[in-house]
Amino acid sequence: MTTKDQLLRYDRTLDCVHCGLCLPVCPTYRLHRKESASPRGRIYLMRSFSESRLEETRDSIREIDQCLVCRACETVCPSGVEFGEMMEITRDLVEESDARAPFPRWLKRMFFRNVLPFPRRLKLVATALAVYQRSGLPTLLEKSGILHLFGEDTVLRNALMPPVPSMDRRRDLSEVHPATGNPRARVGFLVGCVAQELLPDANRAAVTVLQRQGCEVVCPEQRPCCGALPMHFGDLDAARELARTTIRSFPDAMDAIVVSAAGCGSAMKDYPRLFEESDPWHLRATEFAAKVRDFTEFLIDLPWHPPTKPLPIKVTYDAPCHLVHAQRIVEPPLAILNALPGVELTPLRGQDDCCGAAGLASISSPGQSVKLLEGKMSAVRESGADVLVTANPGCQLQLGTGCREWCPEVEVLHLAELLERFDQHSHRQEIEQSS
Amino acid sequence: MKKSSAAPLQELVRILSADQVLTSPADLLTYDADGLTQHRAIPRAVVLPHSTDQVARVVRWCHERGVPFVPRGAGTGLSGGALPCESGIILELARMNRLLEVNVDERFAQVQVGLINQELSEAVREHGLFYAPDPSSQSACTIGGNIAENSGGPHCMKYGMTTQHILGATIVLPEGTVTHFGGPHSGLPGLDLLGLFVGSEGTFGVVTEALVALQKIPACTRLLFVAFRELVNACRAVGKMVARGMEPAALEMIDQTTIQVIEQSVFACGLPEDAGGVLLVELDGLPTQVDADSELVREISSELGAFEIREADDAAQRLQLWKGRKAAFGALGRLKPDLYVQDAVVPRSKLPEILNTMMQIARKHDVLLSNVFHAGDGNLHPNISFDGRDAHEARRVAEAGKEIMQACLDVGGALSGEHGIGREKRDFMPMLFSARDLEVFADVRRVFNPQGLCNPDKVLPGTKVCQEFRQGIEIPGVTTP
Repeated sequence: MTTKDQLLRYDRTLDCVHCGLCLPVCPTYRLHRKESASPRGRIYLMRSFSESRLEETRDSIREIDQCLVCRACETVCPSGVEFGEMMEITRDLVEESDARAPFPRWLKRMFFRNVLPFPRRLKLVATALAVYQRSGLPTLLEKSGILHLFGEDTVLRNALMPPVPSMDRRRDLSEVHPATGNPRARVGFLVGCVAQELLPDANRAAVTVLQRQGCEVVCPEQRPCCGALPMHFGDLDAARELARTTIRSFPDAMDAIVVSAAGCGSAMKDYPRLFEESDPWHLRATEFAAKVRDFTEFLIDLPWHPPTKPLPIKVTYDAPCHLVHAQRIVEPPLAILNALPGVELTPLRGQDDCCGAAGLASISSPGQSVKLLEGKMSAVRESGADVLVTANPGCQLQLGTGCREWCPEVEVLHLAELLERFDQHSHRQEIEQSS
Repeated sequence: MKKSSAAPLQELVRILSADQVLTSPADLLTYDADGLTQHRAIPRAVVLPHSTDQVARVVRWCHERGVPFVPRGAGTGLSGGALPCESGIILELARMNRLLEVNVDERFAQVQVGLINQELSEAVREHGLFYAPDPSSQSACTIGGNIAENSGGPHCMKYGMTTQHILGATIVLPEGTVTHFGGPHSGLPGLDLLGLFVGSEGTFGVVTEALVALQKIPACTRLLFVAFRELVNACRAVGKMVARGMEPAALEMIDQTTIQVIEQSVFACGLPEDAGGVLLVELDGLPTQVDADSELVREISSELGAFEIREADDAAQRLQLWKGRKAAFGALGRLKPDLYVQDAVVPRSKLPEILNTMMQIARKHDVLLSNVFHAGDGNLHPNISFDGRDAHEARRVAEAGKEIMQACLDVGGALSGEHGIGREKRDFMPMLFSARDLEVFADVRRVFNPQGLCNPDKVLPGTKVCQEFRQGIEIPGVTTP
């Protein structure tokens, strides 16, 4: 823990004037209705840590851990408190304190430092998980009561685990994907770490859509992890290392770096704050961050050509927190959906509220995560949609789990997957017409 | 009676349940202040009841054990009304947030008092109704807190304060019995004790449920914003509009400093940053009336040299302007770490004069003063931005605040327009009331709250039930518990 960090954290906490406008938009406050589960309360805790009014104990850092860092509080804060960044720094600082249980800390650190940076190791972990899932063990362990010995959280984690796709679907994307027709742009695309192992179809769809829109797409062979997870969950050193690797992986001559994972895009736009201004990496990170575009905002700016063949389908959209609150991208996904012929877009109650995925929060606090998911699912049912669209892998996995459990008739898709479906539909119709 | 500090908190867990009683240092610390952070105290426990019955049982326990208790809603109050008592507990009503009944025909709603003000209006909008009192914190504050403080808001200019909208209440008296006052129909027999409770700042008992009146959404609503070079001319325009017989729904004033911080925030709404002062004038009613009033606003404003007069294009822009106005307090957090939000009332005709005096006081004490207020009601909010870590500055702020208050009283004003007296202005009460007046207040309070355990040491000077470890404006961070 450095003094500078401490000062930084302290000064930031002073921006909050305790007005309380953030309380009603905070998902954890709405769940628990107590001050320490609110942004205002958590800032008070951060301030108290730096003023040494409060010791960093297991008890006092619980609320720091339970925060989803959805940053909904930032979009209503009149004082402009940068809550997300404050939480990143605080988590990094308390990670070192004695308040942390040694085993989970070790496990998390090992995952961030020894698995995430290595796609092969990650693939191995995914494969091991797939073998476990197909062995029948998950049901056996639960039914036999063995899992219950490890606590209710473990039972929940087991039940909520997303299915790992087949090896074939998880195969790596090739490096260069040529544009269809005259190239309009040359872009880098972040394949990502966990996303490629658990939701490879969304990645493939995003690349195909970009190609059809006239972009040459480059997916770096190293397949870097952007570092969002360690950045948001208390390991800024690991995040810095991954950020440097990511920046190095993409060729300089790119018109944009397109990201279809809102959590990753948000972290990459925030890269500059990982490096001190005196560090040469600060400038490099700033230049890199300026090129980062979410998939949806990139399409709108391109500008994209919407499909012409209608596909009647009832869609609702759930806004990923790291898109709407962290990147403040509100209109582009809706504009894209509204431009799709045949799509009936129905509103989703609480569209901007966290679904409970929140990166690793669904694993660290599964009970809270399920409660938030249940609320989201009742809104999905109300909407009467056939397809639930989102734009972030974490949300897509969580909503997928939710729909399997509560709304099996609803299909969950990444926006890119929906667009690809339109492309295929047009393509099929053209073939039929010509024959 | 046992000594309060010895009362075993475990008994509370038995009365409620473990997750309804907070005692960990981290949990307690976050309750040490409400929207006013200049006063702080850490309670012994925070309890989170779900029902009137649970509140009654907790209050009875406090009564039997001699434990002081402080009712609290969302903690957005600006007079320290929910400041904890060090030897007592916080009765946090935020979990009692259910909307129990909406009666569209009779235009009332029955609510638990932890319901958020704005959520009530949102819930009844589909019936063409709304709940009129709209304090700036309405997106977060609770109906219970509004009742305690008799809250106002921009639209109280036309629609009246909270007390005009409360038809009935379920109340837990400070010894733990439950009683009901009022009802859906006016003209009930018996004494009107309800009026006594609204605005008693939680010192007469705990309101747990309320029957509130709902209003019909007007046929036509129009928001004009008028920009003046000189703040004082904006004040003159206010006086003229009211003198000409206009009855705007809201008449708000925002000064340049406040405009600038709003425009820097996420609530930026297109207010001209070069204006010395902007008036927001909302008109509602029948379209012909609104048209005629708009003309009058334009005429008066032009006479006084307004350089820009615009109408909000649509409901969305109107909402955005109101959001900007209501975020002013939070937005001022951009200037300095701490903010002292003052609240006073002066006769409308004295607005230009008092603004001058306040600016002189601010200059004299070298403090950063900004103004955003309900001009139509003469309800001022002079805000002083400061850094509480600087003891000299904090002292100057306290002095300037007191002088501003005295100046308002000197022109025939009052101590508070809507925030309440709470802990903050308790010791200012003798500036406005005679010793005899204060005795009468205390006598009435004693009828309901004889032991003085319910929200002690608030509103009336003289009592010392709590041991506050922090008094007046001190330096946060230096004092530790």
